[in-house]
Amino acid sequence: METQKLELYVQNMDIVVPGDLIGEGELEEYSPYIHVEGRKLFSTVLGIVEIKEGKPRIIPLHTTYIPQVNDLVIGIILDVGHSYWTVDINSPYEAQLNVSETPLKQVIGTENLRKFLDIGDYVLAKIISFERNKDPLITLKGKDLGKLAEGKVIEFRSSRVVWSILRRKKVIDALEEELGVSVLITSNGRAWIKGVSQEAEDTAILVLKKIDYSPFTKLTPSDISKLISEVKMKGGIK
Amino acid sequence: MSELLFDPSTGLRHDGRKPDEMRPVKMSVGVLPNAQGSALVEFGKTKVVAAVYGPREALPRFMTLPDRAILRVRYHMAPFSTKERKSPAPSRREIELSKVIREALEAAVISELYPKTTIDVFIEVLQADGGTRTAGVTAASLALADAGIPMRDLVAGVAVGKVGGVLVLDIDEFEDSKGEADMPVAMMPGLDKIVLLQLNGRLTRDEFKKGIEMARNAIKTIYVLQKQALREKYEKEGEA
Repeated sequence: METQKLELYVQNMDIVVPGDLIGEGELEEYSPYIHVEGRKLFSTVLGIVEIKEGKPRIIPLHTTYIPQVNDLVIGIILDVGHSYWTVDINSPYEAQLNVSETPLKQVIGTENLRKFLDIGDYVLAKIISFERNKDPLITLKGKDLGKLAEGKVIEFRSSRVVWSILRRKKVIDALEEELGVSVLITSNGRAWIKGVSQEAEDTAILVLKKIDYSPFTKLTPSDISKLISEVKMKGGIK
Repeated sequence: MSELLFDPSTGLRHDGRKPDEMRPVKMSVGVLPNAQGSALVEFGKTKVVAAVYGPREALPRFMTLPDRAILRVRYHMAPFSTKERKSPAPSRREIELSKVIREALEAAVISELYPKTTIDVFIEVLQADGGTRTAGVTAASLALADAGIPMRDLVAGVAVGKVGGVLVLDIDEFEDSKGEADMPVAMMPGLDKIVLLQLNGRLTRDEFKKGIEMARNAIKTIYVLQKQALREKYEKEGEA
């Protein structure tokens, strides 16, 4: 019944800009990308409309990562304190990683934490809390979490890419299978690539970068092998 | 002097425009790759570039607000933007304009989404020929949209003036200095809300109402151009 109240003026995959009227009626779910003025619904960002079961959703072209509890993130150590590390998580908020949230046992006060994680190190972590008046806290306790000692990390430009690749797992599966690499894309717009060889890693990075710079083409798993051969040809990789 | 500004026999202004005619407007988005969002707006000879950085961590910390992002706007005229060299130090006028533009943009930006952060907006006037604040606010709102910062609506602005007893749209430097009144207006056209309104000189009530109406119509045209500029950027990225 609720959905019948909503009248939409846009179609699936339409491009919207701030101030575009997308429909009239009641919105069931709050979205920061839809501004409600009376019964009118306006887009607040430059993005693409996705309509599912009569409900509009806007996927912004560019956005800032706002931490959410349980998000998997790749962080870079920015600073080392007495009992914590400050971590850049590609967000306006710097995360804090306490020693107690690492697998390390009690650390003696005089011990230098740089021995374990130094400035510039990459970590795979999980957000455990984020409140308005406190910076986000992250943890390294958990399966597969910890320092990323091998492989390479890249950063995506477009939020839509992260969203679409995260959702289309098949595309990543195809890439992993074809090149023999493992790719992990995290919520904060970074990816970790680890492969059997340097070339495989570099090829995977080039393919991901190519997807990043052309975010509006629909990708299917079969496109991946085409992209790979294209990248290999250009880069002279056998 | 008034005949120089406005010729009643032909009904044309000193540059050949009709009273309700704007100068040619040009807009492009994403002109500065280093900035998170940027835009270049031209109203005739007036040329303004805007760059947006953020939301990012606010420094100094005491400036931050616990419930929303702060908006910092710097309106600045380049030393080479005027006929005579302008001192690059911020003048009283620039400080005031930074404030009114900030207040106009604050109405549009949904700053509650990013508590404790700052959004920095830099507006640089490259060439000044009247209407720089309205061109500035137009460019800044495009740059904010380009940076992906959620906004209730885009902000567009234009100035209405009075020369030779006639209301004219989008006044230039000459009309501004010799005319009887200058009224910059900025709006969120989609929501039909005025976010910036200043008046230099005198207008009667009827003139004021007519002036607002003229500005509103012109702003709607600018709004269409703004949306077009944003869409063009989107399409360009799609092709890349």
